[in-house]
Amino acid sequence: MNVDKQRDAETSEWCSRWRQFRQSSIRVRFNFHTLSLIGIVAAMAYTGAVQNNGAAYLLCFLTGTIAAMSWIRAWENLRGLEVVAGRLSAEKAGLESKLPLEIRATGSQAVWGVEVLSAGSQKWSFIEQIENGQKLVVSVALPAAEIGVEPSIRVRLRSGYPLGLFSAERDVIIAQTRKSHPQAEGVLPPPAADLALAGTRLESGQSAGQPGREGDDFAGVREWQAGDSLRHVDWRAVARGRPLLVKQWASETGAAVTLDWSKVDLEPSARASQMARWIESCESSSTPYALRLPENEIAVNLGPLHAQRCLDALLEVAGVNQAELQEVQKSKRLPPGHEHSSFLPRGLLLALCGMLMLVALPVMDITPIAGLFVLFACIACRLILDKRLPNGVPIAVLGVGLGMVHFLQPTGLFSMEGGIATLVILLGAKLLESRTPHDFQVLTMIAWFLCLCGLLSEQTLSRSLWTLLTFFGIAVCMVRFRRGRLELLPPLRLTGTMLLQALPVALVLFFVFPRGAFEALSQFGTQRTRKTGVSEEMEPGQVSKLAQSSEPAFRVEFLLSDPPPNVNRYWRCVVLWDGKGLSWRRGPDWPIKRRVRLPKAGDLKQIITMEPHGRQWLPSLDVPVLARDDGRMILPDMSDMLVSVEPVNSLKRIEVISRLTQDSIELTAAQRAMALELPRSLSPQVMQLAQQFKQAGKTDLKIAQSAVGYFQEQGFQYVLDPGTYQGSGALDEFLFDRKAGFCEHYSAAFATLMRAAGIPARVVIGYMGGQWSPRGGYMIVRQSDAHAWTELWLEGTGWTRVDLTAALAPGRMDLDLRTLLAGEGELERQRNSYFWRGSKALQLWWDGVEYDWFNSVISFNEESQIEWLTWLGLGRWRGQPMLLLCAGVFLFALLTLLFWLRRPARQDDAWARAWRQLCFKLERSGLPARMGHEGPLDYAQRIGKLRPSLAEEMKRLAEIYARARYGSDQTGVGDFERAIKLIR
Amino acid sequence: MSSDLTLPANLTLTTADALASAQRLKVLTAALSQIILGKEKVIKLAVTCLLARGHLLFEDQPGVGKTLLSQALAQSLGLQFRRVQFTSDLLPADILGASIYQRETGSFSFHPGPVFTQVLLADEINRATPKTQSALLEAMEEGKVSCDGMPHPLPVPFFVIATQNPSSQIGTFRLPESQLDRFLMRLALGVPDRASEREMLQGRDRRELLREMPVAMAWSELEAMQKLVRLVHVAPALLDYLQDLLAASRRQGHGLSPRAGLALLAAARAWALLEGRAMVLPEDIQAVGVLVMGHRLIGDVDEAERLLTETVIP
Repeated sequence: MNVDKQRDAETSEWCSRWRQFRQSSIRVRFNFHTLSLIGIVAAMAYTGAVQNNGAAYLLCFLTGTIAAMSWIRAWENLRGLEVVAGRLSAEKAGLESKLPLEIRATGSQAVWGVEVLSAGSQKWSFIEQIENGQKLVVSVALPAAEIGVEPSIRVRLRSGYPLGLFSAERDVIIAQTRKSHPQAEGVLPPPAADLALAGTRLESGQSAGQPGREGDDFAGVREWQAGDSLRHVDWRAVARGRPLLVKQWASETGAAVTLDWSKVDLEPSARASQMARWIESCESSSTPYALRLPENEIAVNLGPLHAQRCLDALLEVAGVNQAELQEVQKSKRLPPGHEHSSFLPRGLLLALCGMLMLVALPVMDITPIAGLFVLFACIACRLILDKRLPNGVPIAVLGVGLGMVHFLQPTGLFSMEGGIATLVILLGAKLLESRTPHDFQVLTMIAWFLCLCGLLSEQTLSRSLWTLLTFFGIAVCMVRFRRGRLELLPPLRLTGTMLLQALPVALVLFFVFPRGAFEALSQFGTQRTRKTGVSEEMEPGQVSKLAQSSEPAFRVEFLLSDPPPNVNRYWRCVVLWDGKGLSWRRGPDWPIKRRVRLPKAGDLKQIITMEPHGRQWLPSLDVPVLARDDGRMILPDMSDMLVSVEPVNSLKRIEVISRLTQDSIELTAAQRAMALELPRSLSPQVMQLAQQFKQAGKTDLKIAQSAVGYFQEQGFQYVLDPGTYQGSGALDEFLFDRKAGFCEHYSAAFATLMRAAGIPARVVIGYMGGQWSPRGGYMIVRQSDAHAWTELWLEGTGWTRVDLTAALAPGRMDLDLRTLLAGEGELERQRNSYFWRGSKALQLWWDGVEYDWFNSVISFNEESQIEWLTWLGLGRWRGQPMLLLCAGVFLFALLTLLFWLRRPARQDDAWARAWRQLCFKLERSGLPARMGHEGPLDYAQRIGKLRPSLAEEMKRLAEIYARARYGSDQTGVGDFERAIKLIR
Repeated sequence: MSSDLTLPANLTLTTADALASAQRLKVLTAALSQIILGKEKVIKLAVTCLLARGHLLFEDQPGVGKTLLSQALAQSLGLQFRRVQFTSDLLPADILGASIYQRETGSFSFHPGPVFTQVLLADEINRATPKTQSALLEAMEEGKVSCDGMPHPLPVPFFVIATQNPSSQIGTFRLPESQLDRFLMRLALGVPDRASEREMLQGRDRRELLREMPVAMAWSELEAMQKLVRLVHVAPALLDYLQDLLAASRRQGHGLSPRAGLALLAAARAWALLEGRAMVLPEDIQAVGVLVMGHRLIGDVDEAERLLTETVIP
């Protein structure tokens, strides 16, 4: 029976708790910033889905989690407050008054950034921070009220903590009546004394009947006059040498005044004021008075309590109807508050401007740099001129900025880059006119969006870290807006905590969120990234320009075999057929027939991870046999070139199988014609040279060899920057005048000569060489390895590679370009210096880290997700269950945060903790709880009465506790705790 | 007296000493209960007030035995007792004394007033003018009377037991708050219950009994116990509770003064000693709280009770 009752009691307790929750007066509302937050998170998710950008996904999950956690924190912030009102004494109507409120932070978290205001008043008080367990007394201004009684006072607590993304509100109804007494004004004289006090309460002393003695109260002495009885003389004074003095007696005013409501001829409110004035004057002249009201009569009396009672009675008659008052209260609007009124200190402004600059920098990859200048100018303006600029200035700035974007941005104003540039300028313009936290919050939301934009162009680890740091910095500024104090450390700590709490959740979501869900969106993606790489045409000087950058072009991992030696490290990218002297192009697209070859043992399998270059060629080790791109099989065409279906606009990963030896194939007539085509403007000198070669040997091979020999003997130089070769005479200039060039010149000239000598030739551009990274286990091929070479079709061997550079500068095979050109001495010096080696090693290490980042985060797509899940044994989960799992993880994280925030405050006193445990245990077993003001002995006595079996033990325990807590001996907690456990 | 109480050598009070003191005080209260029937709690509180070296204010209707109790108190301790009936024509000199010109010597000599006694009963103190009231209260506070520039010390011990009728009657000068603050406790006797009243009606004359009452405790013993009261241990937790009470009273206007806090603590200590404890518990504060705080607060007894029920023991 007891158990059932207990269970019922428990369920009813839970029900009442749930009901309390439902009715709880804390509301966390969405506001304008929440909308922009939702937009930003959606944009991040969209970017991640469309570009398959893992970093964007990570940022999206992080933002979403932090926002959700800030919702919970906002709730808990207000929940942990306890509001106790001081006593409000009755005041006069029509005046503002102050209500003292004591606000205590219970719970384990401090309370931050709360403003307190009461309905109807325009003034609010802002509370910075209350440490947990501390109290703060705040005076809340109450608005002027009408004459009457307000049954309760409504106080509202508002907060935008922590990130300002939600507005939390809590209404506290203080059950204190507020009596507004009528103001004392009126000019009528008080009524005459009409009540004769019957002397019922006066002590009738012996003196009452004496003549000459008018009353009972001593009223001082006066000079003796002839006729006064000698009995009334103050003889003591005479004994002391004073003249004859007579004691005077006065009766107390034997009459009292009646203040009658019906006898005053005024309006009710004026009547009430008049009577208040009379009451005041009666009190000051110590005249007792009685009050007569239509429904009430108060007997004659005097004193402050009596005055209070009379004024309260007046209220009932003259006061405004209570129901009316309530309605009036509800319609009053609340003042704007801290978010819209306070100003930011200078240090914070500086920090915010710094953050904005950092955010805008990465975006400059894809937008014109003029936007950054505008932003910088606005920041400088704002920091230097501290006064309020006229309203037209920000709009003018915006207009000027938009115009600049329109003219400077090639893709125009309405493209993605244009939009981002507009945002940067908008940031600057808004900064000029921002004053309040609300305005700055808008700025920070824009800045968060720009963080995302920074990830659009580059997703390397360094960029991602930069984005994370700026994100964190902006969040710190957001938290700082909600406070007024000048320190930066508490917001840093808070933001750090939030970030640390959100990161694990974001990481788990990153792994678990189903990527395939938004595959359909990826076709909508437009990617604008920096693109570098060999182009599909060759002009003199292009390759050398490309070769000046040491950015990585692609990275190659070799599976199942070692990397090939230097001699064979030719990477084939584009094949050019249409040549005009030193300039070559790809040539017309004829129906491309694929070369189908099956992979053999001995073929090299590579995984190539390439940076985007915007074109459709794919690099491969010479000669490619087969490639696989995202499940699709790509076969090389007749040029042995791999072409992808779509342009390579993002980091791409392909699998290539290559064979080092070329197969012999037959040339079709069309191909042969194509491969022998000569430019019309070929000079006779060149033709002559070609004839010279032709006569040198019978076979094509011999012709080629003689040509190579010619180049070697004629003192041709291999230099990176041979000057510009332009115009139709470029080839002649190169071959006969300057005799200095780069691989592009040599390959183009050689191919032309060979064509002129009747050998089918074509030019191949690609890369040569590559740096092996021991840590990563892959080879990096950089732009500086860009190379061009010639291919000749020889009878019996097919298309053969002939690289003039190998003949002219054999060192190029082994070294990279830079060191080669720098010369031998430099090389020695570099090799021996620790700095060089150290920096090289660091570079390689960082490149390895970036490669890992790319592999694990950026290219984490559906494939890798499925792999990972299969490894975990959850291979069957795809699609719907994954979404459920995501939601589950998210909710779990939020609940964990909730419980962490709600942990009870630490009780430092061991004895108090033990006592509390005992009380809680007794309460759970069905006994009524200990009242707050009940001391230990009283409580033990009460328990003893309710449950006699426990009486003895409780008394003993209570005495032990009392002696320990209030006495001088604090030892023995352990025994006490053990004894508690034994109680049933 | 069975045991001779001496001050402990070290400055801590042991439970044994406390229990012994409690036993002795029980004897005193028992003796007093013979005279005033059915009012053990009030007698205990009055003794508490004495132990805490405070002055007592009785506020009650006439005829419940206030004078009797005061006389009994004085007599049981073997102290000199004097009574002054306050009327509205009482002058300060009538209480304190005056310098009278002596014709023989040609100088003034001081004739002490009734205040120069060990226990003074000031009957119906609210009938006197404020000037007279303040003269008495000043003497209470300073322990001496200054006349013509010469200080005349009051005897030790000096207790004032004042009585007043409930203040809602006209014709009285209600004691202002600052003066009320000087009284440690305000007690109300009330009418005895039926059985005690029966015994009183049937029994002997109370005054005769009073005349025959022997000295229950020597003054020196009580003085020693007053010193013991000061040694009763007060823990920080208890001071937290006390200060919470004081802060709660100050939420509306000015509440309890620091003197009130000291008074409350002293009374709680004395009560603890009476209960035989060497330390003060929150129950002690609650036992004497209403009586110590009631007359100092605007809201009177109701507010004092509200404070006690609303303040949570930390």
